[in-house]
Amino acid sequence: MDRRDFLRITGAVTAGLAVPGTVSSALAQGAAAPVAAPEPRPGVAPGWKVYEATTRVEVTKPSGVTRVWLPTPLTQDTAYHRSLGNSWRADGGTAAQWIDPIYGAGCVWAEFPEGAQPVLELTSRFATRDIAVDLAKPGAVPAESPATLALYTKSTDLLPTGGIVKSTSNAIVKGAKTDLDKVRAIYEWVVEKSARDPKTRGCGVGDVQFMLEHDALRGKCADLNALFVALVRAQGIPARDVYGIRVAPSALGYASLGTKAVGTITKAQHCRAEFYLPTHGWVPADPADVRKVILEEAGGKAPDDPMVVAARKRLFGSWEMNWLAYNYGHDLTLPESTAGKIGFLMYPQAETADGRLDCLDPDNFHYAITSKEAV
Amino acid sequence: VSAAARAAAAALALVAISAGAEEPRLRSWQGGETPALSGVDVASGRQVELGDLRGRVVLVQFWASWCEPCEVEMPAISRLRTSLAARPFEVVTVNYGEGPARVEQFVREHRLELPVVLDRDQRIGRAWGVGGLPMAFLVDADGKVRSSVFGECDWTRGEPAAALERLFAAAERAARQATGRR
Repeated sequence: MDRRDFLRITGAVTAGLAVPGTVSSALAQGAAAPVAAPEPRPGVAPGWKVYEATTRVEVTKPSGVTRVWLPTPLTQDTAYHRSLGNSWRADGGTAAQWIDPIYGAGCVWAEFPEGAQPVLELTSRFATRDIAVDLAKPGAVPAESPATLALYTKSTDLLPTGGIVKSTSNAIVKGAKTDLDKVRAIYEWVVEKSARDPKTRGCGVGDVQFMLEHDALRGKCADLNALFVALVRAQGIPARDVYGIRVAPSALGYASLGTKAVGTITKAQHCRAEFYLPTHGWVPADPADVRKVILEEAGGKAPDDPMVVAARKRLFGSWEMNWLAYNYGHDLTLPESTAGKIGFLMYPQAETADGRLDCLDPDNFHYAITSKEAV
Repeated sequence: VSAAARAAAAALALVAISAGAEEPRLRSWQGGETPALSGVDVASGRQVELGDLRGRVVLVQFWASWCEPCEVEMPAISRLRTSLAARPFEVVTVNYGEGPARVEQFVREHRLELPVVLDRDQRIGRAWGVGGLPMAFLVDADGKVRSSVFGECDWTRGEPAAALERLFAAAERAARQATGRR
């Protein structure tokens, strides 16, 4: 979307409301569509839970024009996640919804003129339900488009699929006969070889080549699950990171795999991984959370602890959906950003005349994220 | 894959490995031409240009205030610079992604006597292939990057000290030859 489209769409309106579908698509293409009222959605089906997540960002040291970008829930419905709409306020500025044309990664972004006190508040409603794929039962699944499968098999800036990634992947899958066997071997390798590092800032970066070259297989979800995804892609098997945030406690007894309570979730960002098999469709996985259970659950668990063993089995094929999925995007150029691409969009982003703000620096950039289950 | 493309981690910061857990490994530089490095020194306000430091061995050190190993290492780098004042040596540190107020506070609190260039948008770090902190690069007297090290590093002993000494010897030999020619 160019600057003129941005202004045309938003006008002087500082608050908006949009739902996935026609409005979002139109904005993504830069069409001069007005912000529409939400379409009615079906009631909550059995097994689904509806949540509301609110992000409030304040840039405390604005300089010149300030821009803020906040991720919105998945713009495509899935078997485990449905977006129910976004509403926002940007007093003193202008705001709009944007969808990345490659990955469909969505955000609401706002622009504030010099002298404004930039505050952007976004509320997103979404529904989730737990998902489990029975890997023992291959069957007919809805076909995925070749373009989508190609997208999630290619290299990205942080997830190259050649060189050391390819050679490492080949060594891991040696002897595996089927694609499922190969992915399982990679999953087990990541669980065995990596470690969760509590000192990693945020969720990590996920520079897979750097990790392998420097034998630095430590980090958090954005590192460990990116490693898994890149190694799977290196076999020509589609895989993707799914960036998001935990929104509720785990109902399965894993204190480390959920929020402490429904409420403040400001630091609960978490990314997961999926891989695609023609016989099963998109399959959920989360090797990083296995390492989290080992490190954090009840003060730390041995790898052969029954709780770890259960998590390890469960997290290859299923997700508990106490989690909001934002997007699958990599190497995103945010609208009107002047600071270059971002590796992924999971944290609020902001730029001033001084450049991109460190989204983990509370001196410049205050934000709070809350969640609640909607009635 | 270019270093610039590879480490495009945007506003997110990097992995800080645990300090002193393992002996850091010096790696030969495979990144081709020396990436550009210039900026204004936070403390002095003077322009820093890596290209102006030909004839000296330069330690380029990437760091951030939130990186625990960096907090340990930066005072040691400052002392190293002082102790090697008689050798053809210079240090250029690059703060990865933070603002001037935080950097100035860190420099003040740790009494650092080091040039510090800001890399707020992390473009310098991307060009150098920085994927974790702390990360250092040795640049020889001809301005070519020779090696890198990821993680906290003691430059006064072992392979890092030997690598420095080799580069000093080459720089001093070249300087003597240049003097002889004149």
